[in-house]
Amino acid sequence: MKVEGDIKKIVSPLLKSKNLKITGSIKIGDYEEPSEEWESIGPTPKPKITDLRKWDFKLLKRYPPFYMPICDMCCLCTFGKCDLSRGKKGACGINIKAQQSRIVLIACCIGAACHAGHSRHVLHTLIERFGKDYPIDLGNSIDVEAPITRTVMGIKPKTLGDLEKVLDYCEEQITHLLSATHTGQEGSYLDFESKALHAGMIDDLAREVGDIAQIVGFNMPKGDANAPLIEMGLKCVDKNKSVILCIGHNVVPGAEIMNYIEDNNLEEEIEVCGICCTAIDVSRYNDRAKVIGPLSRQLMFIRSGVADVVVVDEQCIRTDVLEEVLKTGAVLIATNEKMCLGLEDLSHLSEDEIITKILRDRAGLILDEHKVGKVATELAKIISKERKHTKDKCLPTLEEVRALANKCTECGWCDRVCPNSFEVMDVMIGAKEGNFDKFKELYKKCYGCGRCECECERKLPIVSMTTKVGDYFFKDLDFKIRAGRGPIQDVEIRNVGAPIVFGDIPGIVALVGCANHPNGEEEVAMIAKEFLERKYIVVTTGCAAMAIGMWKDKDGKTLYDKYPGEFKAGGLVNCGSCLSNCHITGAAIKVANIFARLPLRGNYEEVADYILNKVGAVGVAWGAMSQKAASIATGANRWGVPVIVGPHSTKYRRMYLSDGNDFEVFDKSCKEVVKIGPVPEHLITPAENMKECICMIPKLCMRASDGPKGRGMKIYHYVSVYEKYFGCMPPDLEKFVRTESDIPFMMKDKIKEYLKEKNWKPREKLPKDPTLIY
Amino acid sequence: MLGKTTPYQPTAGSNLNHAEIVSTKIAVSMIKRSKHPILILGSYGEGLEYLEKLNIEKIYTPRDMNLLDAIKKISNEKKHDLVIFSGITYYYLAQAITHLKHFSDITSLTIDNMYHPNAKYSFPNMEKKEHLEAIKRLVMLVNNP
Ligand code: SF4
Ligand code: SF4
Ligand code: SF4
Repeated sequence: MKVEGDIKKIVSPLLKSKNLKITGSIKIGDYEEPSEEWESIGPTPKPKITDLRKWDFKLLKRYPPFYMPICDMCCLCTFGKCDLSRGKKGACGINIKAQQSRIVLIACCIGAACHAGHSRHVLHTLIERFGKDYPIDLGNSIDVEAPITRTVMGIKPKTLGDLEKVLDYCEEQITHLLSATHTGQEGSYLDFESKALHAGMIDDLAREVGDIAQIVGFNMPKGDANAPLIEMGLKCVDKNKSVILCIGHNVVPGAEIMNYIEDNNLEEEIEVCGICCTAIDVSRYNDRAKVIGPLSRQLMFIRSGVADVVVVDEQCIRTDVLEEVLKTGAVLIATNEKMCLGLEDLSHLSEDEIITKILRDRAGLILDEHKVGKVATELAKIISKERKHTKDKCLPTLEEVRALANKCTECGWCDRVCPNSFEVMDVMIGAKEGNFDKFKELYKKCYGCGRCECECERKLPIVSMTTKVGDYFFKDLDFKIRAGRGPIQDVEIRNVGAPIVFGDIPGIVALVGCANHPNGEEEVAMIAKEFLERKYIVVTTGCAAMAIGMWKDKDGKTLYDKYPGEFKAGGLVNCGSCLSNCHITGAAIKVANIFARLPLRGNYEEVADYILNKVGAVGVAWGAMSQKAASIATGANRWGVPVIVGPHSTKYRRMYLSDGNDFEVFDKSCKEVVKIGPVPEHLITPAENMKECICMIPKLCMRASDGPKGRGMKIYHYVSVYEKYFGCMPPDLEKFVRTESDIPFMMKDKIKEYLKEKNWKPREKLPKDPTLIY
Repeated sequence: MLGKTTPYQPTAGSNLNHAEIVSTKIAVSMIKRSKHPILILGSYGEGLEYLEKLNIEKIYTPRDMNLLDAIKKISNEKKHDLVIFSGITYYYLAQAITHLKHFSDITSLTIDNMYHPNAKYSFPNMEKKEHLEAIKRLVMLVNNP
């Protein structure tokens, strides 16, 4: 059989027959998939921008966008600037809501483009190396190799060449989405939001391509719960060796460096360490690589002067990195077309010629990664000798810190420009007297953005001073992180599927995202600890995964030492880098597929509906900063996964908030519309501080499908964290207790008393099989 | 600290429309004139213990309610005509309050020691001591007609 044309039109009338199998060759767009009987094809393979609009509108009805315009104006075209405040429209007719949603869409497009570009680069490199037919094999424990690709594209990718086609689709969608933000295109905020959700989904898909490609191409762990523990922290690097620091997200140059070092037996001479996701991914490739830490430690570590050679690739790197590196006497190699830094392209030269050139110019652009391995390593050997006596002098001494502090005029502007309003001036006042207590506190919380320095009228190098104080007083900055394990195994999903859907495992908490933390990294670890102790499944990626490792108990153990890496109750699962976030949504999708046997193929809406109503997972992006974080969160939202963000994330301008009243769902088994409590209450919401975030988590893990025992457990945790952090019962508890059987036995009396005060009545009907699709 | 009307974080403003500065006296008369004022009280800063005694309806955030939920509820209900904020993380409130600025007629007033450009009315930047005195006075004048 050969089916051509719009497969949706052909297949959709038949969809109701669940076991429909289509055999033969199916042509979807220009992609021909070989005959295979794996699943019937659903209604939306390769969805166009509008194909999932109906689903989006259902979400947006329940969770209407809540806007906080960061600017009263629009300045995107030369009609403007236009004042959109208080009901006014721009010269093109746009209003403030549409403008906010347009900016959100632009952010999501930037994020999706970033991941698609990253994945394209990795894939391109691997196809050049191994060819298009290189197989995708994630080992015996993972059959559902690419849940997002299966659901969105309707294909099972078998080779690297198949992944290329997925990226073709992503790039096409991103072009359409971005074009909708041009002046005089989309005019409805709801449609902009639907497009943002589409961009988020594309982002998720692009990340899956990139991570699967690098897992198979670089032989990274394939769902290994016992992936090795990696050394982490500012103190884990041996300063007496030659040090190469990799910053960014792209594993390719770092992997080349590791290869060269191993091929030439230079392990004892050279240290390779990394910051941000490059660090995580290089350590997935080779467990000898060391992780310095998240983005927040970037400027501090560069200023410390420990690195002899700094290699940058892409994303989230300080754009003044060249200037900062040169100040320390180290050299810089840029390796990616997305970040050329004005440097001369040396790619055409031989490795020895490049080395000579960089020794003279102190920096260069090398777009041929093969050459980066030798160049970076050989340069590190030379530069470390050159810097032998100057390396330690990059930071001021403690005495010098005090002398510098004495120059402070106490103008207070550092406090005012610090994104977190840290009290830097008081820190200086203390240091003048030789009291560094407040300085030590600042070191733990400050993410080294450098805004205070830029403002300081005395040009005090506040970040260098803070770095010195940290270096001097904290001797135990050596931590552990479990290497990113990649996907969740099918058997793990089989084991936890039922307890997740009925609520006996109280939830999956995904701690992800950047390092724009309001109070330092430790809070992320504290959130993880709280829910590990409560036997939630805690999954993590990226800067958050590093932050979790940067806390130790009194015995010097990190949470990675203390908790197993399995996807099970009480497990701490580091999936890997930002790209690896796909395995978190992937796990939710696999619950629908492996446990509930829902077909994935081209079946987005049904799968997302299942997750929204039945999989108690919540994302927490406590330090979300980037446009990538915006698209990742929005992608999770379209799958029906709610997200909590930190207070800075209100600057994304838009949240999806329900009004907290009852929701309506359709009960598939009784065939009627039933009212339920607001679960999950919001799709994306901020918390002001860690306490509030912790108290929101159990609530956002509640789902319509919870059985009484499961809901009881979730209520138990909700009440128990509220009492622990706010000293009272949750003020909205009555919304979540459906009948008396939901009341946890251990809290029976006080909850009953509370419910009585609130005039609570049990619900008469509970949906057996809730859905939004009706 | 310089610049009483420069946003405490200089970049917190939203460009065109910035809050009018009010004195304690004006703030008091605004509260007294209001039919249904409400105070949304956060958990930071020194004036809290005094503000807790202020004789008007209150929501403690985040304990009673998330800040955005509170703002959403107040602007949907249209019951209150004045909403007063204090003790909330500066940049977080600065951003959240723009919702009221654009999508609601309710008058917003912030009474921290930091000028909040995105409210309708705000105290200016003040030294902590001066602010504490202002708060004590405000509470005293509102509670004792
Ligand atoms: S895009 Fe519209 S609102 Fe923006 S500046 Fe141009 S005319 Fe004004
Ligand atoms: S470097 Fe640290 S103290 Fe300075 S502005 Fe940034 S976060 Fe604040
Ligand atoms: S900006 Fe500089 S001079 Fe002013 S208080 Fe801060 S450190 Fe001192």
